[in-house]
Amino acid sequence: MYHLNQALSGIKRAGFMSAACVIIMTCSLLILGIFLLATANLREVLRFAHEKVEIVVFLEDDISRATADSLMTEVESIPFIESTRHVDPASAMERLKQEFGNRSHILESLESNPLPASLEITLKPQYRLRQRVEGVAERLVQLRGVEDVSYGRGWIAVLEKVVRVFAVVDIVIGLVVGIAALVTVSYTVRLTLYARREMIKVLKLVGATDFFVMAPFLLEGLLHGAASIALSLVLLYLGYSAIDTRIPQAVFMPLGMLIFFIVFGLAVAVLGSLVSLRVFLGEKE
Amino acid sequence: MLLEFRNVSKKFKGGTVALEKINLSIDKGEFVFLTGSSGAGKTTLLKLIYLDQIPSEGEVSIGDYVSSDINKKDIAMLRRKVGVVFQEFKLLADLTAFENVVLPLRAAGKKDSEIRKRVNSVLYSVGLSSKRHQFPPKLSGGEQQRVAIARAMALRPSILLADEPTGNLDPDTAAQIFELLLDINRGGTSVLVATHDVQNAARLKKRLIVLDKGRVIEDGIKEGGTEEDGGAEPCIT
Repeated sequence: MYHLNQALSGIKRAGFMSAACVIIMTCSLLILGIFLLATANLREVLRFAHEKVEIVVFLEDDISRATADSLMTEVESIPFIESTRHVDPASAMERLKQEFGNRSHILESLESNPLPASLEITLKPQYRLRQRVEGVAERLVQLRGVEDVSYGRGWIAVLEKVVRVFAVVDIVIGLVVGIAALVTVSYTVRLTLYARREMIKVLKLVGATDFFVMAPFLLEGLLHGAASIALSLVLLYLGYSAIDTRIPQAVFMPLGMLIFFIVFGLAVAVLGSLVSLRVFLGEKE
Repeated sequence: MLLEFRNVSKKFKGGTVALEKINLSIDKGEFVFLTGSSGAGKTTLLKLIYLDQIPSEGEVSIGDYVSSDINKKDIAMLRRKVGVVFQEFKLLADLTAFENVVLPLRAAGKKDSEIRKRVNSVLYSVGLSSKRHQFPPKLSGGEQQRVAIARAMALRPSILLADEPTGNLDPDTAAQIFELLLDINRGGTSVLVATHDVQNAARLKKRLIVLDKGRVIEDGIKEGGTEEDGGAEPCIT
């Protein structure tokens, strides 16, 4: 309680500097938070894309019923496959017409149905990874009666790459923001330390341990950190809410990321205070 | 033996020798004056006792603590056994007399009820009960020194070190402070006073250690010194 009172009185004394520290830290954390949010949402898009991954096996035009049946049996025997659906050319055309909607009359002019019969294959959820899909597709294309295999390889690979780049950017931004916040807290605490140097001298003189001297300043850093985290999270949530009305699929930080964000902010704040204290107390020895 | 210097020298960067080959000891309950001209090494000697400085050679032992084998935490513990007062009082201006005296007790982790009781008692013993809620700038020099003494005595130290405690005070107030130090000594606490005030030292007939250029040149009880002769008689060792 004594240390907390001292920390609060330190913040009150530092006044403007404390406010400036919280604002700078909030801005730094906000930048990191924006990138984390972007990463979380890209991951969500990727997860959604993986969920929707489907392999379409186009069958040869002149495939016999017997070959088609044996192909179907062979495909169903492959592990990782959740379901297989046969789509004959007539159903495929019907589906296309529905997709064309009121422009479906364009298709009426076709003399014959150019669409091939196909098998639509869904993998079990845990196997809907690009490498796994590629493996299954390569296997399917070898089978007799198969004309071609499609699974939207291009854009999933691009999306995965973007998510990887964002993860690296997060680390870089985290480092830059971490250093900026650390320096800010460190200087604020140093100013408080300087303002209270007489108190520190007296405390050391009358037998206070380093921990006793340091505790209020560490708490002060921690309070700056907590205030900045709370402020930046509120701002991030407001921003997220505004986006959420337009893109309902948008997500806020998942729990793990949120915990990382909070721990990161607090750690930077405490470390910033500790750096100043070590320098200050070291000078006084 | 409460305090012992064994072959202690203190050299500063640049080669300045503040103290050289000091050998002395102070017993429990002793009252000792430490005198010498400016720069003789009085303050350095006191700083070596509360380990604000570490000897360059030799060692200082204070109770169970030895300067050559002590860590930072033990230095903090040692300072709870050694009270220190200064010429310039070193009180915190934004804390009341009461709050200034609270500091060592708080640092030692005492409970609130004990702190209140102890601070009231120690302020009473220095005659400042009625001014306990005054801030130092509102107190006279003598009163500020009493608060500083109360703070130094709050944890009931084994020894009280006073570095020129009357240097900023008029003669009457200085005499009162010396009386207070004698009272503390009568209570069983050892007292070591660094002072230029040889007259008071002689008048009180206490052990006197004289330093000159970092060496002890006299150590004994000063006999026959009076205010008139300035206490010029040599020490009997």
